[in-house]
Amino acid sequence: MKLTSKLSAVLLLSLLSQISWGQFTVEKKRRSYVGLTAGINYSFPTVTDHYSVLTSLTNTENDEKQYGKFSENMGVQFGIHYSYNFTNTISIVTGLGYRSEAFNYSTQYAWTDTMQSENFEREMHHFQKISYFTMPIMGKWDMTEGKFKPYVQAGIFMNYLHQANKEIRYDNVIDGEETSNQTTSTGAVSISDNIRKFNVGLMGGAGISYYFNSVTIGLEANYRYGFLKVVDDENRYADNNGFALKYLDVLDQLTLSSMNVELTVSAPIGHSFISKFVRRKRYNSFH
Amino acid sequence: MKLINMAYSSTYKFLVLFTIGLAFAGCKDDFKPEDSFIKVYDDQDINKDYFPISIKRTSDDGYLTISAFNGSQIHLLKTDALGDLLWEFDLPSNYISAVPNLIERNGDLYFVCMDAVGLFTYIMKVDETAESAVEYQVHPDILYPLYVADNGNEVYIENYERTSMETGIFELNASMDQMIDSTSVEIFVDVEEIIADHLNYTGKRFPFFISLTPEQDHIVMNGFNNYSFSTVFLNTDMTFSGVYSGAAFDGAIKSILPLGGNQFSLARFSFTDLYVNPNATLSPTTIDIAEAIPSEWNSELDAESPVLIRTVSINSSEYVVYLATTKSNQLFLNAYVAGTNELAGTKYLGESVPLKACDFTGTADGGMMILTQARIMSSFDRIATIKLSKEELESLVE
Repeated sequence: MKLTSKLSAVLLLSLLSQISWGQFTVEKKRRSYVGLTAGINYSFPTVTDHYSVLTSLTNTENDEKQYGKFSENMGVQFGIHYSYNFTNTISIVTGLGYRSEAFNYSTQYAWTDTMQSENFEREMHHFQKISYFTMPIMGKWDMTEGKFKPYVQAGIFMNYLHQANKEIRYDNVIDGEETSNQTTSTGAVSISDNIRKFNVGLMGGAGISYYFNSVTIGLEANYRYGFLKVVDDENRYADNNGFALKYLDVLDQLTLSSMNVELTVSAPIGHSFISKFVRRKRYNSFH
Repeated sequence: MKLINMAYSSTYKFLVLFTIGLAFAGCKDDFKPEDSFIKVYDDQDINKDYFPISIKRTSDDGYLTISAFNGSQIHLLKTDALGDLLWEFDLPSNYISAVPNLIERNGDLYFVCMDAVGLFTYIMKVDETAESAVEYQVHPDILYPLYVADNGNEVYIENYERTSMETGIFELNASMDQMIDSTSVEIFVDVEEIIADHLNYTGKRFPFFISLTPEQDHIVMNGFNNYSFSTVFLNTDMTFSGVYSGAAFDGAIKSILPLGGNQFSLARFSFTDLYVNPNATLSPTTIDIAEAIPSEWNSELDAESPVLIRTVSINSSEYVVYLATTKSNQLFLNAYVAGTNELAGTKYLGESVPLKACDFTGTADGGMMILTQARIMSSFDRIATIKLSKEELESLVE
């Protein structure tokens, strides 16, 4: 059902573009474009192995971390991109970008005073942000040759770690949220040594772009699926930042996927595009 | 245009090959979770405090830990190779005051503890199937057991004779069911209250120990003797050989590792100061003062906490490794080239949570398992283990 809906939307966009802007064609064959992108992303951590410092002797309940919703895992990305068009509709897209990906989770601990009922609780909110240099390589198909182009694209990406940091905010009330008048923060502390330096994955998405005379603007959404584990197993317990024992925290092993939405601005290069870029097409006279 | 196309083609071929190469490099993953970990074993009862005593690797590559809780009660903890809890057991309250060292016999583990009322000695056998411990032997003549040592053929138990005010040592056969020999040294003062505080973790902890020289020609016993806390050398027939007397109860040898001949690695304390000598020369037949043993003061080490000294093989070389606790409650590992004073490396563990050294042992994978007491949330004393991988241990001496 979902697939049918998506297909219908794509077809509708194609049809609209033919109706509204079909009288123009953008001559892109063997042309290159460079541009800028910027946008936001939301991460989806997928835990493959659970790890914990604390093992309860008395509480058999699940001690696993409670991961936050994807809507709380916002990061940003920006970069430059380059595309080369093999035909008017088929191109390859690459570039160099910088992106941050975030994920968060919470842990809760409780101790019971069996003598004086002075119980003790600790709730910790863990915020991780990983920043990568990233390079995508994608094939792109424009659905039309007009100025308004819906498109789809797919390919791979490579991420190279720049830095990673973490902040823990904690309070003494287990209520699932930060208690404003009690919350204490560790501040952002580097966890770069706990994160693997490289990742690779698949990405794909769709977008729309509009070709003005000398510049193209667009909006696209891409889903990125990271293949490799994010956390460096060998350094998990190295306790470089003192979090393992003080906050009873080690990272689970996980992969990161993300949904990206970004704006693009690009312009053609390498040809005398000003005069010949947009050529009016007289459909009726040719047919 | 051909040149441009060729350039594009070469670039993308390179990128594809580069990506595939990196992907394979990224997939390389020979890490095993049991290589390195930190585990804290928590009890949600605020009023329970744990004092880890000894850890031993079991035949299934797991670990058994014996601890005291609420003073003198006894707690057993069995984990797998990853440090995950398999079972735990609190002994009934008539069994109290387990003493350092778990003994292995034919794949089974034993420990020594005391009867809460009669103060006599039990040898307990750990029953892994029933996930508990059962009485194996009762020695009604051995009161106040303080330490047990095992050389594989004999088992030695140190104790306090409350009526005669003596420190005793009993030699048992390998199966621990027959007493072979015994002797005692006179203290001349009543130290029962001090020993009760030691056993209940309510006062100063004294470094009782029994050690045998590699040549098996002397037994070295640390305990109360002649108005002081002293290191007594005994011949194998239990006759007196020599002594390094302490300065009353405030200065003595803290820990010792016989290296062979007259060489010993040791640590000694004097009030709140700790001194170390990884290659001290001691005479088993002398009568001397412990505080006169040449040693180097280590200003950052806590004299009240245990000091463990073991020979550890790292990168096929033998090192004498000290595990101690700093005054700021970090764990402190010092490695010396065995038989020398040459420092090979130092490592600190823990930064923000008070840790106290309790025991350590080598592991089958060439790493090290450290048993420690961790004070979590600034409040609760809990059993914790720190497993160092082979690589982490090697980094100690690099």
